[in-house]
Amino acid sequence: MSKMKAKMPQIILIVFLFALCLIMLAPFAWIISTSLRLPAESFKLPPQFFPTSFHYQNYVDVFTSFPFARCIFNSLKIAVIVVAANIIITTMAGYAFARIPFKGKNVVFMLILAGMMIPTQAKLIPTYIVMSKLGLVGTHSALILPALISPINIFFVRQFMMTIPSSYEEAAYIDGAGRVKIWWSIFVPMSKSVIVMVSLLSFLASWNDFINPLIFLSKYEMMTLPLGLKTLSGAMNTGSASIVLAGVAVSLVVPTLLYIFGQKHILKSVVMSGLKT
Amino acid sequence: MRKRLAASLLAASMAVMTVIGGSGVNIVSAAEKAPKSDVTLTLAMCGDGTTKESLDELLGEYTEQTGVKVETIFIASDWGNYCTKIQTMVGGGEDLDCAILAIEGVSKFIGMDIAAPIDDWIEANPELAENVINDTNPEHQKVFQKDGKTYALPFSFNNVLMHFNTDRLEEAGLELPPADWDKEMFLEYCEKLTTEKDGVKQYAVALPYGEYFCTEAWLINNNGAYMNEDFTESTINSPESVEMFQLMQDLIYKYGYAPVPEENVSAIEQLMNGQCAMGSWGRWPTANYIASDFDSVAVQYLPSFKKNQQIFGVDGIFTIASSKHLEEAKDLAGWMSQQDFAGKYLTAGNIPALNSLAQEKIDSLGLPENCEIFYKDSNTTDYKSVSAPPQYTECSYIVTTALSEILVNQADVQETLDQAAEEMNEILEENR
Amino acid sequence: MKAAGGTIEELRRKKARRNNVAGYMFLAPTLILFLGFILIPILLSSVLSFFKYNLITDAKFVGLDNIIKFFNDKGVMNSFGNTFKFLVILVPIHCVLGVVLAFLVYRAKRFQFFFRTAIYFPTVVTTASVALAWGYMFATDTGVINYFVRMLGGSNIPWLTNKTFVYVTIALFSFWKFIGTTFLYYFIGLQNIPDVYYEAAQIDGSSTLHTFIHVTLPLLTPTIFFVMITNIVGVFQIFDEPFLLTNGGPGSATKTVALEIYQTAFKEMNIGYGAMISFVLFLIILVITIVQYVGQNKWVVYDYE
Repeated sequence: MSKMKAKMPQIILIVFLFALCLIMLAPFAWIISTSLRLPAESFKLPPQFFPTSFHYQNYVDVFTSFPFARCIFNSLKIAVIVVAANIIITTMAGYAFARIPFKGKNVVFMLILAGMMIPTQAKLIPTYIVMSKLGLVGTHSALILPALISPINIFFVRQFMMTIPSSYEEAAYIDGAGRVKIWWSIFVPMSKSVIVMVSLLSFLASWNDFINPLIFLSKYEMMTLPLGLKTLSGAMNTGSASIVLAGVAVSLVVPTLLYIFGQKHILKSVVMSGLKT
Repeated sequence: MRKRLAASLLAASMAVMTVIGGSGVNIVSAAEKAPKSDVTLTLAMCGDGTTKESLDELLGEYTEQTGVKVETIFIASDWGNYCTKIQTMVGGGEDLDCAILAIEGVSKFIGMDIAAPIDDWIEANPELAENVINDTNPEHQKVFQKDGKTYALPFSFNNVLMHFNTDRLEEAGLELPPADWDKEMFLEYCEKLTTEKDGVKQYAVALPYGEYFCTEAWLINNNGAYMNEDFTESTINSPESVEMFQLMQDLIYKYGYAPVPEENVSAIEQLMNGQCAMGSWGRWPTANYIASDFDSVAVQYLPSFKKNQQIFGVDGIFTIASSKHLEEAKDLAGWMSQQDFAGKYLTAGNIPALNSLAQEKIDSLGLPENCEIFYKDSNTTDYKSVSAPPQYTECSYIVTTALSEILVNQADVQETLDQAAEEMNEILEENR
Repeated sequence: MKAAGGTIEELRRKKARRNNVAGYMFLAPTLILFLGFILIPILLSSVLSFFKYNLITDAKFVGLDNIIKFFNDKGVMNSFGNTFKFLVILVPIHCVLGVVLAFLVYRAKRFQFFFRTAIYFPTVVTTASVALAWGYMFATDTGVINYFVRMLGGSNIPWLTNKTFVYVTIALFSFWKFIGTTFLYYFIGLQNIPDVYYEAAQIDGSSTLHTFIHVTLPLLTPTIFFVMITNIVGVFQIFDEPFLLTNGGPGSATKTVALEIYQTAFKEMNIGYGAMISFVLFLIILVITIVQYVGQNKWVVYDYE
């Protein structure tokens, strides 16, 4: 009897969470099933959450009517460069803040953290002017360069590295290793989980970025995926919903794969334990 | 350091792309064959790029003739956003040599010296210039002239007509209305065309939402306009204009003839799938009709609320003043204005500016029914130009926001338009 | 201890110098980027505020004109008002519902992995693409949502075509799309709370709700603080949702400061005035952040070990 009582809340809880999760996932089902409908029937009622027809042509159309593959490639390229550079830059900075006692460390650290509070829009206009003076408007560099610094990532990595026991580096010191070597062969490998998390964050930030491509890019061949999709749907407001939704469905593939591979690490990383400034 | 890394990675990936694409080879061979130069021009067009392939093909002919290569950029947006995008590109230092530009952006671009005058080109190529000048409407040419200088030749134009889904007309037992139908008849049509199907309401008319050009078409049929003819004072709150905006609001909320317009819903799609029986546009939806194999469509003039007054908007290929190859750019713009190119490029969509082409193209497409009214004769002065002050961007924001307040938020019409007029007058002050 | 180089004092100084050099060497890329893409832009935007500039013609010094214009600009004031509305709606949603959801999932003894995945998944997908889909789904006449509303006997809800409902729709979208981020932070925070606290609470015989309020919440305050700060900064920048779902409409009901800046600077080409607005935005965020940091001592518990 008492066992039943104890179980009841669990059951209610699980049923509630199941319902919530179904709602969370329902839009994806709708996107996929609508993307498989005939363009003329995209809004035909009743709506479907499970595909009833398989009009694959929409998927072909989205790639042929627009340099969609190129947009995906652009987005991937930008995100990969940003992530790779970010790992190096962020771990270097994190290591310095966590381990090297240098003059002005606290001031510099606070300054960089303050950078976290600056809204993108506040930087947008001057960055545009800087980029136009550098002749980089319309290129992917205009998106990559500002994305290379991420104060929040530096903060995460620094917090994590502070928890690495100093005995490791002491041993390396005795072996005569220099700072660069200690950073690269001890701190970087030991920070794997935080690096995965930070990489995922910067990948998503880059992959989802909308306002910067909107301002900096104008050629179809240069566009990133989100901007390409918006362009596809907004072209004189005449894009067909099913074809746009096919594009939307395609755009879900990369994040999904990434999530499947990355999620073990995301939840493993105990970065937040270091949320004590 | 990182900068260089990024730059070199970028360069490397570009190189890979070029090799994969094989275009590197083409460039070399084209340059060898080229009779003249190895200049590459960048041309901006407004549109979703569905015509990119045919355009690139036609421009390939140009490259064969002159050796000048042309890279095309399609910018998919309305004219207002297109104009600002061009402006940002020029301001940001991107390479741009030619751009199509509609009446809306013309005075702004001329005022800011973004566009280069082509008088020297006209002088050097009298024959080519005459071809266009003698075959286009002087009213259209005037749009591209300022202080005695000419900045472009007319390329294509649009007027605004009411498009009908003929299946819906048939279901309601209606014929295409006569050319001089008035407000009363329009409301009668609306009443009959508002029905229900499968539990979903079928509306009579899609209102022009976010459409500066199409909305003014309604106003001028009622003797209204956004502003006076020398752009010094707003007339958006004049009784005639107010009456039209009020009618549009009533069509939604009083009569229920029109759906509340929505940002993400395409009115052209609504016309094609029958959710709305009427909608007012230029000739550009014909491109959508053809792409979707939709032929149950007819056109008629907008209802003569007070009179049957047609509006027009015209575009031309402009040369950008900051171009590094001004001469070649002017040649390209001139070439594109000729009958040969325009005739091949402009099929569905906008109406060719060349009189000799317009009639032929409209007739040969044959769609929509009654399409011959898209075009009058060559020298008609019956059309009235859309209001296109140098402050077009700002004014179009004021208009579309007011329209949205009235049509969606059910704001008081007079009050909203009084405020819009006030804002507009502030902006138009510099024209006095 | 004896060193080859000299006295211990010298050695220490030398080591300090080496540390200084090493520290700044490691920070060099960060500092260069910080200078180029954060500090200089912010300073430049304060300078630009005093100019009239359209990217094409030369910048013209206009003194305080932009500032005077700012305080008389009803449109801009409306945008700031809208942004505050979003702040008041969205920050509590994320801060409160995020922690509740994390707690519920944390308590679930089965299917935890599935719940985590489903809740977090929308965060990783492209905002622009799902926003497009939401635009279709929430359309008044043709949308799937209203289809179900009608089926349940209701009448069409003007999700995106009413200046009040549009906030509900954007709030729903924001919850669906971004709750995963805060959820994850809280969830990790919960995992980091040592079990002994719960065991102690259980022995005391306190209820779940009691445990949540008196044990879990205080221990989560650092996370809550972090989530609040990042959310406030995030909402001040809100651009994608209104741009993609409503384009600031209907009318100017959802025009945020970020949209205003974008429109002023990149549509109307009024770069100076846009910079002015963006600088004000920066100042507001700065003040709020400072207030938060100062005020955190009152409620954030850091040392619970």
